Amino acid sequence: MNLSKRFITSLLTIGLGASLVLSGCGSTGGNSEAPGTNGSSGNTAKDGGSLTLWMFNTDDYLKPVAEEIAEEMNIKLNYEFINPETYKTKIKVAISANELPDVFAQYAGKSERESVLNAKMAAPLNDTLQSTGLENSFNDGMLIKEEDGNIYSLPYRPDQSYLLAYNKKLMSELGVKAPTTWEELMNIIKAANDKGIAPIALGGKDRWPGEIIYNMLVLREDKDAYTKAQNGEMSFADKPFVDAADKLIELVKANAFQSGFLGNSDLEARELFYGGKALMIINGSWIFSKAIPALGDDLGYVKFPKTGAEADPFSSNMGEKSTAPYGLYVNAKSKQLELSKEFAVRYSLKVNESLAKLGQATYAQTEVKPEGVVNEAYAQYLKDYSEYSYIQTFWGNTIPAAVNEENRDLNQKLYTGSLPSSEFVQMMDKIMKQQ
Amino acid sequence: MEKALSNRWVLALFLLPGLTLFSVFFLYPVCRTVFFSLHEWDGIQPMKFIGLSNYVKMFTDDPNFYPAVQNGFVFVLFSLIFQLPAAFILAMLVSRKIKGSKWFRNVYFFPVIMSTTMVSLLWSKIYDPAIGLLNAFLRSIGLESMTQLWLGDTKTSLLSVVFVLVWQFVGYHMLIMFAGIQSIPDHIYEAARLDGATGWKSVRHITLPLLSDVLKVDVVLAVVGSLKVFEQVYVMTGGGPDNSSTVIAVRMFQEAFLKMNFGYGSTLAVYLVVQCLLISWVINKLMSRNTVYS
Repeated sequence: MNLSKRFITSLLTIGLGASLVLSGCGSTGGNSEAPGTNGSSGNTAKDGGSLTLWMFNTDDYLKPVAEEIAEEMNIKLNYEFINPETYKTKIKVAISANELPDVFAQYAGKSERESVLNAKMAAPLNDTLQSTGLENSFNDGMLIKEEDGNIYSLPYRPDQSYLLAYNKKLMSELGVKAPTTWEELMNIIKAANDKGIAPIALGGKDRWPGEIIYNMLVLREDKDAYTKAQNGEMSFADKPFVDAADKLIELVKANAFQSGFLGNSDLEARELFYGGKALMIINGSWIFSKAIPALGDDLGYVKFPKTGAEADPFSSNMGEKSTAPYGLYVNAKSKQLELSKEFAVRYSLKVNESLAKLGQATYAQTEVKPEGVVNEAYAQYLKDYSEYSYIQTFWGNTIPAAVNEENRDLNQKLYTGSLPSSEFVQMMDKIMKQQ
Repeated sequence: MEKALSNRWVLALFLLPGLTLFSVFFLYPVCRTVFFSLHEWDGIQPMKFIGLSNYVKMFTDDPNFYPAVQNGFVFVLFSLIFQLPAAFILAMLVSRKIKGSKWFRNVYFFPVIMSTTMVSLLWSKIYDPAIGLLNAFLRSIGLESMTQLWLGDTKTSLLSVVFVLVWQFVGYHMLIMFAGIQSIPDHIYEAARLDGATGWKSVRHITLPLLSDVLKVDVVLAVVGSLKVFEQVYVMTGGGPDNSSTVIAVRMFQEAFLKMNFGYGSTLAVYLVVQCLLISWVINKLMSRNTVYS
């Protein structure tokens, strides 16, 4: 009996030891999995290998184009779409944890770009661009060269800028025309509210849509104000910033935004506009890709109205023209580095062709012509965009993430009415000086 | 077998897997978090040791810290005032040997097994001021004046999220209390009945005292769960508008992953852990003193 007990104890001990050893082996195996691969690749991969691509933009053509390139390269593609707001966090965690996919998109902005480059997670693409002879296909200035002379990112969306889009049908029902001045804008807001229509769709929960409205109002007060304040030539508490804050407070008081807008995300606000439930939306030109199919000829567009003291308001706009644009990066530690680089270059150029087909602005040369008639509002936007003499980069893209987050929090106080403009600008000045 | 199990080394060997898991997944991360909290770190660049500066900043220079702590206590308060009493009433009801009690028990527990994100999204839609069910219901019964912006208003956002947390986890506490009630022997109630204690009297003098240990566990779980709340707030309001519904866990997330201040984010995490431990200890002390039956 004693022998059998001892035997059972020994057996349990051996079993325990074995399980520990096996679990150790298992974890070693897991750790040896290089970043950039995932569970879905492997057995089911096509002959050319498998790649994972992370994207966050909602444009319909991005996924089919990626799949087309994968098919041409005979690779299995794991295309992962991640909600835009979630992506901002996910990509940072992936960078910190060294868990990036083979190819990934990244937001525009100084901090966003630096987070990838400083971590040395992006592979230089010069060799692939040169060996494939595709470097010259990109328009001048579209491939950003860093200080070390390397190109680490590829474009996948054209320059964007700010605009006011509206629903022509609703506008004509109200008997008004698209606003070009502050007074007209306020009159339209009143008319829409009187009819029970949401005047402007705004995703206040995400904070950035509200922040760029304020950016724009400052630009309309003085197009050089932000640059001067950043350079220390003026203060963020000076008149243009105060006046813009007052305008924003006035908009909120006039119920310019849909009911409960501070609880709605940007995507929800856009859906409100696409669904014909809001008269206008003040947002970036990226909304065209969904607004055109949703509203068709009912989609109207104008430049952001003259709301302030700027003498020549319509020659300038807010936008993304910067040295830190949206970009497609290749993970430097990808197991299939060369394949990933080739995929990224071909994908960037193929997306460019899709943009050309849709009649949108492009970032590389292509012989592809627009298919069908280009939407009237979008055609007008493209014409206007080419004529701007000055594009002010969205503030958030020019400042560190921590400063930007604080500024966004502060900006929301204008929408909740918890700060007068005088206090707001003083606090903003303090935050901006943290850079 | 007894001889083998009396050997310290064998016992230690059997304890090793659990201890290893506990150390790897609890002790180590906590220690690392404390370590990070003493540094300035963006998660990418090398860390810079700054001593207790993050703690000083948290207590003296973070305008959102105290509102977040205060909001956490609002969650605790409502959990204690509404969630636990509601759970107790439901537990009493489903303990009765009546037809369908098992079905009701499952129904009340159902929100607990639902994904918190899904529940939060569902309630976001219910709260939507334009298309939401809640305002539509209020209008339909002639209470238009009571319609609100709910999540979009600084005055109502916090309580709107608190309600969801209370609603979702009532079933969880109900089930724990139900198990406790079931463990009370019937003969005690019978004896009490003979002595004339029925209805509320038997609840007050038998059920509640005999359930005190279970209630203590429930109070600790409710308090700690409320202080740690994250998903509901993150999904429904993101802590806004204007940080009106923010809590420590959301602040921690914002600092670490949006501002890339991993050091300061870790400081908030350490605060949260210490706060939970401290409050749990206080509750244990207070309730042990008041325990009638153990």
